Amino acid sequence: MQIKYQAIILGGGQKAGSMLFPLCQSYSKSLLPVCNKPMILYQLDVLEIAGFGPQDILILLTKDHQAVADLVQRRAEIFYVSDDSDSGSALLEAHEKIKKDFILLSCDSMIGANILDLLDFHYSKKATITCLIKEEDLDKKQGRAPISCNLDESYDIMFIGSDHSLLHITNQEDDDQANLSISRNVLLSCESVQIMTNLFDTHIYVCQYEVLELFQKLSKLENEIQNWKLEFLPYIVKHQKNVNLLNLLSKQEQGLFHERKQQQFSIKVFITQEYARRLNNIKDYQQANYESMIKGNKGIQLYQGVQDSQIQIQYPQDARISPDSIIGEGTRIGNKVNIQRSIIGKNCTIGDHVKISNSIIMKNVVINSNCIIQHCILSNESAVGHTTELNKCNLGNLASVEPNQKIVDECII
Amino acid sequence: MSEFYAVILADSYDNQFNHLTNNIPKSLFPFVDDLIIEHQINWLSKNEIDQIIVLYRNEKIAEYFNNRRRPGRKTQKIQLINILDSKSSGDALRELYSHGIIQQDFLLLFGDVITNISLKEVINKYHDQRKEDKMNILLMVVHQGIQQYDEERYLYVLESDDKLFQLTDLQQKQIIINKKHITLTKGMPCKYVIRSNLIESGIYICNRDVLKSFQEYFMFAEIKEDFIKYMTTTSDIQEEKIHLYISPKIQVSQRIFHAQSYHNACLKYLSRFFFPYCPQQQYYVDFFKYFAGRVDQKSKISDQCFIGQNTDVKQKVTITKSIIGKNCKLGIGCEIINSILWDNIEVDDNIIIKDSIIASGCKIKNSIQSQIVTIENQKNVKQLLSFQKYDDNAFQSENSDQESDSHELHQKKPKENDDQGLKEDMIDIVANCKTVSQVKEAITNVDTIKVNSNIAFENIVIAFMAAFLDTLQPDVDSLKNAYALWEEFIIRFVSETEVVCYIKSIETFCRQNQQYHLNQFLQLSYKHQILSEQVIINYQNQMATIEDDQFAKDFVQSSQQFKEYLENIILEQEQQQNQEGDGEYEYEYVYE
Repeated sequence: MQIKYQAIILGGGQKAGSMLFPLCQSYSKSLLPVCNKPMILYQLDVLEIAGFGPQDILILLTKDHQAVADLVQRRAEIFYVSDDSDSGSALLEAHEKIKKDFILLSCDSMIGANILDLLDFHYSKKATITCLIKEEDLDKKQGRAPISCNLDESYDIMFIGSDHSLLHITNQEDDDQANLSISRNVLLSCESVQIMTNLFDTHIYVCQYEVLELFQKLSKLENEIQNWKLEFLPYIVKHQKNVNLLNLLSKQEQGLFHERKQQQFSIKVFITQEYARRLNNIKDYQQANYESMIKGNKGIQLYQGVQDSQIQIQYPQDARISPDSIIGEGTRIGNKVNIQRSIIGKNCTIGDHVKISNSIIMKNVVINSNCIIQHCILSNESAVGHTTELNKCNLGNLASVEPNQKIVDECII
Repeated sequence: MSEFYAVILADSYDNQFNHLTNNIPKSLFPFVDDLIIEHQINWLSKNEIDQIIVLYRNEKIAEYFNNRRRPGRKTQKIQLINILDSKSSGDALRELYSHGIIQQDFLLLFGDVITNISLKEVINKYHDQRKEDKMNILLMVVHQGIQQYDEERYLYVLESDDKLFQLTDLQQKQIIINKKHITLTKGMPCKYVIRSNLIESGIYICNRDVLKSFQEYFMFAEIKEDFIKYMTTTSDIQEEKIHLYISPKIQVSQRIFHAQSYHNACLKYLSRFFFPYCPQQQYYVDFFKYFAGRVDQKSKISDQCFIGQNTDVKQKVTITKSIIGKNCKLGIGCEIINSILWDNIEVDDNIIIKDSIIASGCKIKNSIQSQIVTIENQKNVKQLLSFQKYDDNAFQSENSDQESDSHELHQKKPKENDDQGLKEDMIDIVANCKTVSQVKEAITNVDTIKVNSNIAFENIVIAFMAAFLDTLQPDVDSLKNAYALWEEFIIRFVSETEVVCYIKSIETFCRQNQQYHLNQFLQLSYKHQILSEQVIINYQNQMATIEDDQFAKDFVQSSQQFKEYLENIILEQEQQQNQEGDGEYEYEYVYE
């Protein structure tokens, strides 16, 4: 017996990719490739392995992300939301399409954990919302310090109870008062509560159907609650034991069972140590690509399937290409080319005497001869003139760079 | 071990058991089969602590120890130290420090603790902590359990290795965790834990430095409220640390704060919670019943009861969850429910005793109608009505019907001298103050007098009111001016517990001088926020019930309007509360 869930992927809205400037200027965030495979396909593959069929997956998009729709047409159902909606309000607009308990994913979550474990946990704890959280340990043991799964500066402070409840969540930069203040009743609901700063929220939430109705009622009462993660989630975590909030939940069963329903409003946390990363900023995006290049034992399982499906291409004898680089098919490589630890997409043209290191190059890119490219991201169909040096630059779609330039640390569109 | 002293604070400084502790101090209360202090001495000797210091305030303890003959127990060295002058446990510790007996570490035990915690691991942990850091001065022993009583409800914020970071009581609705001293770094494993299932056991292992700090900061009155709060909140100046020892789940303790916890502790003891400290096995019948006396077959005794030695229980007696002491006689057909009877009590036939504590030597006869003495949680002391009620339905104490009723309390230093001096001082102060700033000075003056001579708030209020009322003229303006002038002073010294004597002094004054109207005083007090609506309404109701008093009748008539006005205000407040209310859900402490 398996309770069927519905998967909802937030495919991209107006604000999507705002931290990934300039990669998403005219390109959907969901389509950004990691190891030459668009992000959203990772999500769909993970869901497929867990048993979700095309009729169970719903992707929410705005109209200007049509390309995404074309790509995933046969694998999921698409729903268009209005252009200025935020993650929360998009859900509300898709209200009629959501009929069961659902799992909400963001298009940029890369996780290695098994979704079925998460769903089992949610069901067994009878939680209202379960968040998938990765626990990391940045304590420096021998050797190099481990790399965090969130390269952004900010982190969340979470209070986790002894029964895996989430009692308090606040961002470290929001709370600049001298005190952390929590409601007493919330703290007393668990025997012991740990204050943790090493937890990373992967933006994957399993929710009961009633949560959507609750959100609807709440957004009518308070207009500021639009965003799911930044506003709605902290709000209900803070007011978990507030009787006024619980009364907003639908009261289908009255009388004897009414009390029980109130007590069961709980927000739980499923903590995993598996790989997880959210690609909503440049550093994380680059880091994910680097991680996808690692082969062998230390590689990450999520990417190993993708690595294996790369087709070997022909390249001249004098090209020096490091073994962990990935080159897409149809790419033509010139003479005396040096490629270190980079990902190159399909149908690119690389001229002679080019040195590429630590870069991510997407499809249809033209790099003329004698260029040196280090730590860059070149988006689709961009072009680099010859004898140009690019260092830590990011090029947007269709961008081009003049020949004979030396550019360091810039974004070019 | 030979250097290790145990210090028992054999008195309580609160008035929970007021009528009983007037005669016997709490440590000498009988607890099922023996006195509380004997249980404690037994526990200490089983944990190999032989040097005991008892700090006592009531002479009865000295008498008791002088006459104590306990055959078969190891000889212990018990020293008694008199702390007659102390008003709080802080004073008692200062007195102890001045005697200079304690050189190193000692164990501090409150006089109302019943426990079975094994001290060996506790002391080991303490010594380990001391080796690590000389600044670990206090080890607080706590046990795990569900916090039942208000006095137990605290949140413990602990750092790694059970160091106490913050101790918050659960009175407010929002708990604030002091972020200044928390180091929060990204990605580090968890360091702080907040626990709400710990109960303080009243056992502390302290270093001599603790006594020293009490000596330095002479305003420390209580260990938990003052000392521990101070140590945990100002930790950037001090380095001293307090740790917690969390005992394993089978080792518990129970403190006897009030009648409910007293009864509960007795039942727990009977249910063998404090194993291996249990009543003697030879008396065990079944279902936690222990009969040391004679029980007639036709009586029904429920589980968790104890019948003391030589006690005679006649036919058709029903006893439910009660403790009966030695040498009692229960007549035919009695019902005793949830009560604790001490020794030498005679109960006549067909009497119902419910929820009571009956002290030694009482004779309960048929003529007393209602024996139902319910022990309520005293929430609002400022309600005059309930205060009176508590007085009337007092615990039956050692009096009447008893030959030796000469158990007067040993009078401590007679207070009249001090009182007289205080009155004169007060008259001086009142006479000299004409402006508000002078009143402020007066407040500080009276504060210093109070601290230096350790005078209770009540005496200050009485003295002040006498002086204040003397200065008044019988017209309304003078009253208004006087109240405006002394508003701050009155608010400072008249708090919830002194409201009674405040109103009483005004009432006596008005009775004596007919030109003053009690009503006006009350209205002015309300206007200056000295008295709240509820208190005034209670007082008015109480006056309405007094018969045969012309003064009372006049007062009730003239204050009718004021009363209605106050009642309206209360109604409005209630309505407002219902509307806005945060509506926090009162969660019951049920853990999985």
